[in-house]
Amino acid sequence: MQHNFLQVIFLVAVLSLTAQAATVSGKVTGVSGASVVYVEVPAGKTFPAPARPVLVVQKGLIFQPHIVPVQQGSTVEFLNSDSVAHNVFWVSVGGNKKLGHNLGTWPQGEKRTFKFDNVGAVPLLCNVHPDMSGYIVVVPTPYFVLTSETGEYRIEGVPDGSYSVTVWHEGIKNQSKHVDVADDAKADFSLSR
Amino acid sequence: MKKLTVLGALFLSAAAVFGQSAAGGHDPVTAVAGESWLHHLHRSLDATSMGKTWRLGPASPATDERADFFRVSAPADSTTARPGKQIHTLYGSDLYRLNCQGCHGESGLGAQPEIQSLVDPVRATSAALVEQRMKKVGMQLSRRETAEMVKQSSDALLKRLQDGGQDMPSFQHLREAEIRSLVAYLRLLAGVPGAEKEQAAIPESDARIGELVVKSTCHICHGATGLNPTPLELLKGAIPPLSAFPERVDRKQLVRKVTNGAPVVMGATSLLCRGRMPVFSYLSADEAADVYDYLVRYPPTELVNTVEAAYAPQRDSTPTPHVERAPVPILQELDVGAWSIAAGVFTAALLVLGFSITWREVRRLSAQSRVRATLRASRVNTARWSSVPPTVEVITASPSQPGEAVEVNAADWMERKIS
Repeated sequence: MQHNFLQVIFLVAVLSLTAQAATVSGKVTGVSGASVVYVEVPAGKTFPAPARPVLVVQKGLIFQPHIVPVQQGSTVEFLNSDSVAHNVFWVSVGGNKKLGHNLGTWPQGEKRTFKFDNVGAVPLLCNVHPDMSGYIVVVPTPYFVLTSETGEYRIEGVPDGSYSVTVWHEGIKNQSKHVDVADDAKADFSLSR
Repeated sequence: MKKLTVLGALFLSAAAVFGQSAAGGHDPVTAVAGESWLHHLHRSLDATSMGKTWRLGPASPATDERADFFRVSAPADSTTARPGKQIHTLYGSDLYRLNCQGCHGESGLGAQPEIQSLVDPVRATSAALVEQRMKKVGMQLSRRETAEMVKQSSDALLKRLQDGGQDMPSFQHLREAEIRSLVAYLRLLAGVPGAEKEQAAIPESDARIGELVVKSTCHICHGATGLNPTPLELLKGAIPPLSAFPERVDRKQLVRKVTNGAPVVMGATSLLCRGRMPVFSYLSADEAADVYDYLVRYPPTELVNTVEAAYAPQRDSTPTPHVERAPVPILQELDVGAWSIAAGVFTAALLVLGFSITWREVRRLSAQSRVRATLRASRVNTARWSSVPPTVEVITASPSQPGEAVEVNAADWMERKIS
């Protein structure tokens, strides 16, 4: 009986510990435009791939949104909302040119999907319209955010622990910082071209 | 002799079938039909760049022009349509002028947001340019992958011409040869390397030129049929239907209106005003005259709108029994087509078979007679052939080396054959 009671206590303690979530916030400076900030995988942890697909729209000869952070294993839907045919291809994923891919060319109203299983930035291009460009940033955890245009960010629901937090910005080498999360944590980044 | 008669009969029947199908395969000139493209889009002339050349006719008519406009006696040749059978040689650049320039402009850049540039989509169909771009962005593509990408772009471009888009009408009325010639020019316009070597000329009749200008350019703003608007309606923005043209102007006046611009009688007091129609200075006087003749010879028709037809019984106050009859004749027509094609193929096959049998027979006989002649010659006058005995290549089936080609003396072979 007492054994059982102890077990319940232990369970509650564990649950309360894991349920304790904090926020990581800060500011990315030195660059203009939005960046992606994400928490790297803590040792020995895996995250299930999200079931909901993420939508990228080609509208007005632009990839919208311009930068789309997604969790590893996410499926992205590319919807052509323009009255002209569009193509989507990417040169590499995370700089690995072997992962370059041509998704095809399709007309208005149709969409194609792709599951991104490799971490890294995916520079999206269109063979038909050389001026079009966009990014999908595949990150390893569900703890990520797209910063504001001025660089402020806030990642919610990060469990307490010790992490490496990384920032990605278009055309700049990734920068990481060590962060101990207990309650709220701050991590500012100063990037330069 | 009997064989010859049969062959002759076969040939005649085949020629009849082929002749028929050849006549059916040629796209005849058809009348323009249905609402204007702007009407279809529910867009006013002021709210679009389509069909705009950004050039208008003379602002205020000069006195002599006024006299010219109201001239009562038109020249004899300016009202009757010409037969429209004269053949002209057109290039892709001409087809571009007749079909595309009204909206996409001379450069092909269009007018954003509604008229897209055709330059980038056409450049995407060039393997050289795609390779160049991929090199620039650092994409590693194999030759096969590049070819696939180019094919995707080409398919998209052709589909666009065929089906049109949200703001672009379909160009289904263009024949394959016209599309090929046009696309070659689009590639030249878009700066695809080597495109100057792709330019191809095609023959077109007067009537076809008129048809292309009307269907691809005039029909953007002018509907096919309708009432001839009054001067007051014109002032309020009415666009005269194509069917009213011969009633409104003679050939000479239409040519002037299209290529130079001419004032229009507008308003309650019926004054001569500068019209809203752009001047299509890039069309020649002959091409504009072709437009007039085409409209006279092929009067514009009302398009049978299937959606409207479907709603017709409901709008009718007295319900009439619904009779379905459309699918039957179409099916019958298809059946007849299939049968004639099958008959044609069968006849052609018979013909080929007959010819091949005859050819083989003739070859066999001639080879035999040649060998005989050689044999005779070698026997009669051996001195003439003294150094080199005549040889013939023969396939023997000797037990040692079956099927091997050996050279044997023709005389020996003949003797062996005879004995």
